[in-house]
Amino acid sequence: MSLLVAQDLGKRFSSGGRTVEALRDVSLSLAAGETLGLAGASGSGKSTLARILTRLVPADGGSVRFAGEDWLALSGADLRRRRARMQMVFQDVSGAFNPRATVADALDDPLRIHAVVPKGERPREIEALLDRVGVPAAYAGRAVRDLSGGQRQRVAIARAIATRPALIVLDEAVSALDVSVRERILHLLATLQEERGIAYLFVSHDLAVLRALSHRIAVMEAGRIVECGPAGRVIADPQSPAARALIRAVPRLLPQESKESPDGR
Amino acid sequence: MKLVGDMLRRPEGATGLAILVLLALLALLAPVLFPGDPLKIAGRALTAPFTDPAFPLGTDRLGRDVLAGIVHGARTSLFVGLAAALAALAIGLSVGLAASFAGGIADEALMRVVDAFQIVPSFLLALAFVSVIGASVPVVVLAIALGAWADPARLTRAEVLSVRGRDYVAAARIAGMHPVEIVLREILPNVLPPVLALSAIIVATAILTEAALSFLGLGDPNVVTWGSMIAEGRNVLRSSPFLSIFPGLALVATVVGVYLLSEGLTNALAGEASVERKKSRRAGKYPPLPCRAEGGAGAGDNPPAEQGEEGMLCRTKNLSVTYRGQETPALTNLALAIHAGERLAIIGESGSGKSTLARALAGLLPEGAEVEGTVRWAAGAAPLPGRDLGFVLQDPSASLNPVLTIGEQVAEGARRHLGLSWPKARARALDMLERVRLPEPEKLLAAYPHQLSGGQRQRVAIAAALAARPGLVIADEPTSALDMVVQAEIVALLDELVRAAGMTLVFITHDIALAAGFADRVAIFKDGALVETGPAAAVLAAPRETYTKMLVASHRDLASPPLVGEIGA
Amino acid sequence: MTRALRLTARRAISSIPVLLIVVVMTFLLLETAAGDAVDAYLLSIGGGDAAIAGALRQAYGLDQSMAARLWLYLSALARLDLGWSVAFDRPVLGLIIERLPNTLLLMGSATALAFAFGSTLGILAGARPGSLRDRLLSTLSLVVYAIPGFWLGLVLAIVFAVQLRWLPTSGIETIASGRTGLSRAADIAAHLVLPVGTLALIYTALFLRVMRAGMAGIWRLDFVLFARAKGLSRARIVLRHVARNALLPLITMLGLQAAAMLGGSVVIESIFAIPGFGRLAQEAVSGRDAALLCGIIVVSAVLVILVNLLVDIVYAALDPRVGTAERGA
Repeated sequence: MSLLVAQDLGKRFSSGGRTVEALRDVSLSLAAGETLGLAGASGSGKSTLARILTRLVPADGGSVRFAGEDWLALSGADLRRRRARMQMVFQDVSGAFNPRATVADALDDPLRIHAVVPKGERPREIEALLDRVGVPAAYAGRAVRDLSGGQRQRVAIARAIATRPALIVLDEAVSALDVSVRERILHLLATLQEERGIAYLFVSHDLAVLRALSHRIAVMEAGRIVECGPAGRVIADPQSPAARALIRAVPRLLPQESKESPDGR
Repeated sequence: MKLVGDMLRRPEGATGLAILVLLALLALLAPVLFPGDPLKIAGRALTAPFTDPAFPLGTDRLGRDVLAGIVHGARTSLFVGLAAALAALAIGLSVGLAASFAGGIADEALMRVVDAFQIVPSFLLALAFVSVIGASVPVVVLAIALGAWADPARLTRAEVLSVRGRDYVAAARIAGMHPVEIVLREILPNVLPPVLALSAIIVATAILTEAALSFLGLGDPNVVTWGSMIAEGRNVLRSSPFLSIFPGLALVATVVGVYLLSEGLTNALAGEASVERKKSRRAGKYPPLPCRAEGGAGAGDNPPAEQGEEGMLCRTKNLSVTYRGQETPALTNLALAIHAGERLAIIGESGSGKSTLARALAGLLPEGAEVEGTVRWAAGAAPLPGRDLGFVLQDPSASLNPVLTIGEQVAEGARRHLGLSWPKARARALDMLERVRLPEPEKLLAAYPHQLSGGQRQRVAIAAALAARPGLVIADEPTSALDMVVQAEIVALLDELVRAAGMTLVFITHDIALAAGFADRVAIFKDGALVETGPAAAVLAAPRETYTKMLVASHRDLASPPLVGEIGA
Repeated sequence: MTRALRLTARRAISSIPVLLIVVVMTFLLLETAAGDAVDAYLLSIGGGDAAIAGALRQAYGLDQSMAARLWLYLSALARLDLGWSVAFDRPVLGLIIERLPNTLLLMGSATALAFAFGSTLGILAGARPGSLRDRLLSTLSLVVYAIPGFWLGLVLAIVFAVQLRWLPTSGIETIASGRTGLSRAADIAAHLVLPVGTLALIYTALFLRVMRAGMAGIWRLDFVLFARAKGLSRARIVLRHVARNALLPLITMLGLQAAAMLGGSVVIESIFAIPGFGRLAQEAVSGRDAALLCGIIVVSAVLVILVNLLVDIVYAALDPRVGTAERGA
């Protein structure tokens, strides 16, 4: 009983007369309440995949079943309604909010559009959401751009959970944050998953961060998934050169006995 | 609106608005100040200006009051300018929006029409239009608008396409917002400001075009305009040049007012954008004046290192840096020593002052930064950037000049500091490119930055920074913009080069583990102050300060315990 | 250079539909004008009756549908037949070709001067944004750019030709002076000082502003900080790193301004009585010569396209990114 099954997804971009195959025959599945980590170097196609699954970018081929429906066939009002079930958190904390929006505006939109709660209760719901992600309720009236990066990302998470989704796509959601803030956001995401049974598709170039939340990890290279398996197994016993390179690249805090040469050339 | 307030707080915006308000008042009050038809004869012909109090600016050939004409002419100029700009804006916005949202063939076709209107000289178009249809104020307005709508159309389309690609529009789609609402609430409000700034320019162009048309006799013959007054004065240019000069001055004043207003608006917009940028990246402005970091003491006042400081390269004492316009210092009372030949990692999160320290050491602080305290260098004088000190920046795609060859950018420092000729400097550049292990270095000399990947660009930047054989390298987050595999390669390269040449390395990073990999000593920064310093292994294994402990605890590597349990896969 | 050539070829091909749109525009303008070519012709030969007019119309296909007339117009243009000028009683194309060199001389020298002065002063202003020199130059250029060309021309004429009598007020050369060779060139140069100076002054202000604004933006970029970190001389940073990049928007501006310059030639040439392209436009207006006016518009569109192709080639030579994905041209 998978929540999401993607099969043979393909995507090409053409720029300046050249065609780049961003995705080739990508298939993956995700169970309810599970985190699938999607690792890969820049240009490996992981963000394209995230944007296809969230229906921001059309796929050239392949199929996606989400919550029992043909997800890529949905359109118009049907799609907009179903979007409540799949949300997204972006990497760029400053770009993910309308420069004019206040915190309350940002959270009010999903509540209003999907009529999550009756109109009169929305302010209270916004307060509850802010409380849940650890942002003082007094911040509701502030412009999002006056908040710190960590707080903005908390508001982004609040916006994502507002519609009570089954799946949240986290596109490099903690990569731009300071380590101390990042750690707290990771904890918040883990707790939310436990409480609400939300599944995550967690995209990152940092395996150590992926490992924190992922049950399974898929490694991408040049538009393909080259390896996929339980997180512990992929990290302990990588099968593909791409995975091995990513593992080697993670800096270790204390010099390790079996330190390999980091020279990857 | 906040933008208007910002604009008025700037001198150019306020002056521009003041001029225009004054003109608008004159125009509105014209029938009261100078009742009657300004085209009617009022007195003796060709009264010289400043001679008759009844006609302060004199009269023309037919004895019409020049001042009355100018005040009444303001009505025409301002009305035509505003109306034509509004019409152009309305057409331009609609076409731009239509093109950007329709996309595909419709977009292509509309943009070709925009092209057509941009390559036809708009003055010729207006001229032809008015002469074919006949001169009247509405026709003149339409004729000017016809030549002016293409610019706002193009700008609107470009802005919509850019805004539409932003994450917040994606976020609105993810939220399930209706497309119409996305356009009205997310896109349009963010597209309009730059288009409005452009429309001020359109008003100015429209006023000038109207004047030129009436100067050529193609204005509405039933109203008085500045252009027709100038043309009228031209007939007696030799005897009474003032008849042409006064209305022209009014024209210049009006257009200056509009330009000032537009400049205020543009600057206010840019200011808004730069505030945003400052918040997200703390990117400062780097104006041209290099300023040294010795604080009050000049280089001569800095004696060489004292006894007991053998091997000391540099020592800061009570060093504080405050950027212009900021209240809290970016760096406070810093006391830090750098030893010759060591690899020192400066570790801190955003706002810790680590980059400020790097810039202060390199003498690269932005203009207007206030520096207190001292930096003492063992050599006596502060190191000369490039010659004694190599600096590597964070983002290699921004730190290389896009239009110069790699060879020139690596060679230029060597040429200046090693006194080499260009051919010798190029040979040195070739050697450096080999040392940073770039493939096909001969070819690279003639290549441009955009032809390289991010990791390769950073290798080029390192080669350029080290080309003049500096003894000290300061690397300011040199790997933060790269992905992790490349990051590991770049760190290994820097480490190797520094070791081989016995250089001192100051490595600025937010990543405590990255520093741990190769630094001899670490210095932890927080909120502009030094928290803790000591040998890397000791500090990281047994941190003394709470903040360091927290940083170490927050670090994640592959051995860190996951936050989620296993799920039976 | 193949990169630039390929790009230019692509641009040239893509301007064909644009030119077609311009032609349709002028056709519509012609259609709107009162009377057609036959009326104009009859007027020029001193009138004729309705029967002659009808016969002529049939002969020229002017009694056909609008689409057919458009086709006639297009095929005439394809044969480089721009129609018949009533006001001058000769073919439009010949008239334009006769007048064009004067305008090109005027525009070319004004642009060259303005480019040289504008970029130099722009570098002086942009070398230290915010300095006193920058503020003075910026303010001065704003005021100069606000001056309408025809009025500036008049004022300069009052001062230098009327009051000081240093320069001739009008014409392109002294009529029937019998001068040849260098003496004639000097005579033409003297006649061009005021019109070229007027245009050059205004465009210098514009180019100064574009150059200065470009430099002010580039000072903030990382590669300038990096250039400073390399310890380069100030002159090298200003010229090779900052100004070199700020030149690119200035080149773009040259292309964008081509149309505005041609439009501006109308007033300048009419003030200084220079028998050029712009004055021809004004004469077409006063002679109610719609065919001539439309011919002028079509030719000016072609000129602007050619100037832009030239600008594209220069730009491609200056910016290595052109033709790659980094800058969609």
